[in-house]
Amino acid sequence: MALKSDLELVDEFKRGKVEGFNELVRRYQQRVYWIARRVLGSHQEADDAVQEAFVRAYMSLKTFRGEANFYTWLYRITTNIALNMLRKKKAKNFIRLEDVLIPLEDTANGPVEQLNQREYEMVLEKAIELLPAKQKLVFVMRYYEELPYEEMAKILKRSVGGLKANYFHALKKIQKYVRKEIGA
Amino acid sequence: MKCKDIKYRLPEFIKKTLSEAENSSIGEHLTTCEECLQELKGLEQLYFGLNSLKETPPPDHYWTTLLPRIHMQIEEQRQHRLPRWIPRYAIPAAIAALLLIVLPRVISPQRGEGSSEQSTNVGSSFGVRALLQQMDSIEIQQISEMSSISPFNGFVDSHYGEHHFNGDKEVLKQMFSENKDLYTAQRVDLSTIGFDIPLAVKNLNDREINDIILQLNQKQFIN
Repeated sequence: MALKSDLELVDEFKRGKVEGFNELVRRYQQRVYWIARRVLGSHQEADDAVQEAFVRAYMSLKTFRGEANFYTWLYRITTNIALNMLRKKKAKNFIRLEDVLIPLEDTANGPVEQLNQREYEMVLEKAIELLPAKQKLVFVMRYYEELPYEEMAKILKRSVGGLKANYFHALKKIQKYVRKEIGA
Repeated sequence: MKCKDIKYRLPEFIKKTLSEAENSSIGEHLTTCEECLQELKGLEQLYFGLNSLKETPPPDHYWTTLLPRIHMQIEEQRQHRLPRWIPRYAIPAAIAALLLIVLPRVISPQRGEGSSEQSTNVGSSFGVRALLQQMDSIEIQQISEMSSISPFNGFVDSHYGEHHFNGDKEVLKQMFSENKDLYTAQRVDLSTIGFDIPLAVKNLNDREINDIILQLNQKQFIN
């Protein structure tokens, strides 16, 4: 049996068949989860964001007109929720760089060689966590989700050129932080 | 291609997502530009590190329990929502009713009797907070009780000892004592002021003062 398109499932839902919505959840739950997880950094927060995103989608689905494709629309809902949660988290738990420095052994003889792999990964993870909220979102969407810039531009309502520059600067920030911590 | 055009394309160059023409152009530039070459090497090292990051996936059962939990949340939200007809009809109707009551009084307030050339608009020039600080607690209480949204029908009781004349205060008292409808009490004849008034100074707290100011505001005595 051929898979129904997203719009067909939305129409089904609009006709009162909740199974249309259920199928959309099953279809996109993993992608929605991972974007939230990578922006927020924790499973618990990602779980909250995913539920919120699908609940909001359910409440608004009857008015979804299909001008954007369904996934773009859902993605936008998810990123808005994740960004808001991230901003609240950052405001609540202000992180100072000095507080998160990992004490290091002497790195005079080649930084990466002196650290074990896990320590290096921790520095990288912290560098990503410290990115400003919107920049982190761009980084996650490009690096992890591998979304084309044109798709990102539709979701985030920004220019392709601006997004490319933003992504590049995110990489440079991560690189700068890692070099500062371990000299790599 | 200039360096600043190259650098934003380097991540895509590393991921090999550029066109052949762009790849070729960047490759050529890198053979002659040490700075861009070092930039490329730095990013390649970063990508190597990023690619090694591990992400712990959620447990398998997570995906089967997510949908039921979403439906529980939907049900919960539905129960807390107002019936659709309330925001759609009842709230606009309530606002319209309020405007019908308030607007006529705002647009055409009546002039008080006995106004003279020395009449003054109470609202425009008083330091209301300072004025209220000088009134005693009984006066304030009476004003509070009688200054409601409906027309005011009462007067300040005054039989406690001597008073110190204070023009602003007297105007306000006169207004409250003589005018049954506060909407009309915008002009007061200063020449009629001069009766003994009680004066026990009390330090009002901010809540009491804001309460009075709010009520005076509603009567448009304060600009």
